[in-house]
Amino acid sequence: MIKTKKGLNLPISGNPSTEVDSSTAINSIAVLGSNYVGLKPTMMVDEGDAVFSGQKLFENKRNPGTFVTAPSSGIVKSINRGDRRRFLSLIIETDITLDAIKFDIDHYSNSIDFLIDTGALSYFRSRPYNRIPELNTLPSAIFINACDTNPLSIDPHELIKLDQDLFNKGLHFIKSINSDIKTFCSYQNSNFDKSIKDVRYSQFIGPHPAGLVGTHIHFLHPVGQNRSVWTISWQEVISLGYLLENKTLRSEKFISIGGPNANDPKILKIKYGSNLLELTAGKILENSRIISGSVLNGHTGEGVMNYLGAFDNQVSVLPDESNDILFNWVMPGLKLHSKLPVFLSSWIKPKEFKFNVSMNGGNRAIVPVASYQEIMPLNILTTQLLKSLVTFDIELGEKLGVLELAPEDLALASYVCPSKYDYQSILDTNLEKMYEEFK
Amino acid sequence: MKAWLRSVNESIKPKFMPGGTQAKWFPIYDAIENFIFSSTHKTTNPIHVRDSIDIQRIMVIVWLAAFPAMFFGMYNIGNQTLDYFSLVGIYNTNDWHHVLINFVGYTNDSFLSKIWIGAVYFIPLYAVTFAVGLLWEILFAVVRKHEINEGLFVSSILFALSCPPDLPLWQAAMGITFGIVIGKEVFGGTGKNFLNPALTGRAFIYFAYPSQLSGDKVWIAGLSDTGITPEGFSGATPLGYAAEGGLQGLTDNFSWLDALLGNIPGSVGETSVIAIGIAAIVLLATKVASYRIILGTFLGMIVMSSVLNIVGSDTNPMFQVPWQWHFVIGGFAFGLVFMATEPVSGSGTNTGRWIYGALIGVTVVLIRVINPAFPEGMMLAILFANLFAPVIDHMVVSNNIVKRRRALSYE
Repeated sequence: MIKTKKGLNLPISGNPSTEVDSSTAINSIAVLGSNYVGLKPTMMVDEGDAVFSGQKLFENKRNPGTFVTAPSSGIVKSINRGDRRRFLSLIIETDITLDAIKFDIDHYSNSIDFLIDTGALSYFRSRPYNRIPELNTLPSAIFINACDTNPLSIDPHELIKLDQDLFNKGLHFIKSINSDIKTFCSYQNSNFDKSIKDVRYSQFIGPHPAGLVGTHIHFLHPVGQNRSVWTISWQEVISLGYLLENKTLRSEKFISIGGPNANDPKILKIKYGSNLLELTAGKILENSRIISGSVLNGHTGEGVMNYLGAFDNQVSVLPDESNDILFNWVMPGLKLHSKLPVFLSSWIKPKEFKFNVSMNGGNRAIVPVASYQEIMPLNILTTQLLKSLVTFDIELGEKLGVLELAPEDLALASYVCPSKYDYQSILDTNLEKMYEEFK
Repeated sequence: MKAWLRSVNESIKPKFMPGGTQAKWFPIYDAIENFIFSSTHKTTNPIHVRDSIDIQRIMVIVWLAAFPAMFFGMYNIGNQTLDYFSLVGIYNTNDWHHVLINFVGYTNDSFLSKIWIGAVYFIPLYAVTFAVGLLWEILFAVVRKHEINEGLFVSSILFALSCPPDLPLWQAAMGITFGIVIGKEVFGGTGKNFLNPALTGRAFIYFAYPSQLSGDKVWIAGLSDTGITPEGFSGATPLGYAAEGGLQGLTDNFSWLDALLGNIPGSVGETSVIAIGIAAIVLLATKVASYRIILGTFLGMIVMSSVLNIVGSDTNPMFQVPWQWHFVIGGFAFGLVFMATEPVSGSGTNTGRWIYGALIGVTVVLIRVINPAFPEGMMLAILFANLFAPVIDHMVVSNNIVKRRRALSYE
């Protein structure tokens, strides 16, 4: 068992219950470009085409031979591009009369070919760089993450036990990809099923980010320029098990919906890539910001991006308003949350805060306050690392551990930053630069 | 009220936005808006909630924490001045301060009168410091098109509190100018400075105007106007006495308790360890100041002064001064709580903060005791440690890098 002390559990209101609701009807789904870091797609379908579940939608030009496949059958409604033709989203109107493509593992000579052909390779991400794994290299380990400590998340154990056989089937498959690859599985709840042999199970206990795979990798099998691992979350392990069992892609997944503006925070069973308006219809208050992912690391549902991200296991709903306080600098701040005890709220300790989307300050240069280090359980000099990121000093950054991180690992640093930097986006840019230089 | 203020704000805002007629004065407008209203900016992808803390809050906490020292400082100015006046029998030197003081009048033993006299000396000093500092901040913000930083609140009050009460105002203006411009703005403003701006300004006037600042005549308001030093009275600070007569010199003239409470001559805000202690509690409770720096400095000072006590010296009486006296005299406590803990110019790593603090503690005693030219060591010790902070951090960072490498090659 690994216990971490540093970190922060946001005391945000609207935590989901473990009740599962499968009644939400979804007619529109999408595959988002932002799901896949470093993606340059070559489209294999056109607007208006009928696509079948499991059909290849596009190939990644920057990682040839890797594909993303349709999670559900339907008609391609639109392929949307943004500035400089950056791929944003591919929207599919689902059609249940269309069949799903069957994949039989016995028809493949090895498991990697199976993963490539089904598109299930895109369930994995490699670390460093957080991208779809490259074909020519095998990882030294695969990390299965069955933890979730994000704000408004629930322990995946509650959902895995509903599909325990599928999960174990997927886990067994991953373990068998190659006997040289170590398989790690991290979990939170002591009752977690640990029955697969040769899988290294480890329990992680502590405040967020104890449940992030970046934390697990750091403590169990750190990565760098010369060592990479693959990561996969519990949700996709179940999907993998489902694919092996039923020979078709699993089109549905469990997500939680929660937050101050969610009427009835709970678990939903909905389609991969669901439209967020359909998903939240009747479940949220007016004037809300719908976020695919956690409040610390997610995207706003807007326009052609109004869809659930492929790796997001939650939808968070916040009031779309900012704080409006006169002479705030001298006010005691009974209802304002901070990691540093600079408001009266830190002394009276309310159990929950009604968070909104307020920025709470102007942009300034970094001032090394204590909170940066207090949210970082990893052996990383946070302030120095953040400074190396904002100055794009990739050489120093590499030495300080940037390659171990994905944007989600720095979400709390952005949260506590009194200068209101967005370290996640800055890390993305740094990792892209490192990828170009080091690879 | 709030709605009305908002509507006024909305009506004048367009003038200052890009394309408006007053667009170049946006930083001033922005500073005033931030002063009255909380920021209405909303978060963007990928992070949707933000900590309620901002730099403004941090700076205001330090600023407010300096208030007990400021009010005690004003009282102490009045107290020391009245003592002196009654000693020499002069009550009006016709200096402008005294014209103003007599305009309202005062009685000898009244608490309010002492505050009043202190205010006449301190408030103009602070006002000039703040105004001149603000002018430079605005100039740099407008030219460089960045926001006015709240760090000025802290730099200005700390600079003013670290000055002697009778400092000519033009010298205060020169000092804060040097502090803000050379100590901070030329490097890009708050967050990018490598020296403490307030101390940089203070050091500047110390070296630029030594005749006013290093003698015994400036520590009691009014003394330099009369120029009279009666027999047995020098107007010197406890540090001055200690340099002359060591521990004996101190105990002959002051009690330790007086030094702790602050009933001694000195710079405006530095005399009362109690008032500064209140600030320390506030800054430590809010975690704005690093306890590592404070403890490190304290330990460094105790160790170094104890070593010198043991070594001893026949010619230098300062060697005998024990740590509990070093703690209460001069600018040690003030510098410890307000200056050494400044996060930007100090060490940025937790391990580094211990070393950085210890370096200050050791250096301050060395300068006070060994160096014959400067009786006050705290200012120079902190500036010296500021210069070393990047080196200390570099060592800590290198150590971390080596450990990370080892972790990667493990297995």
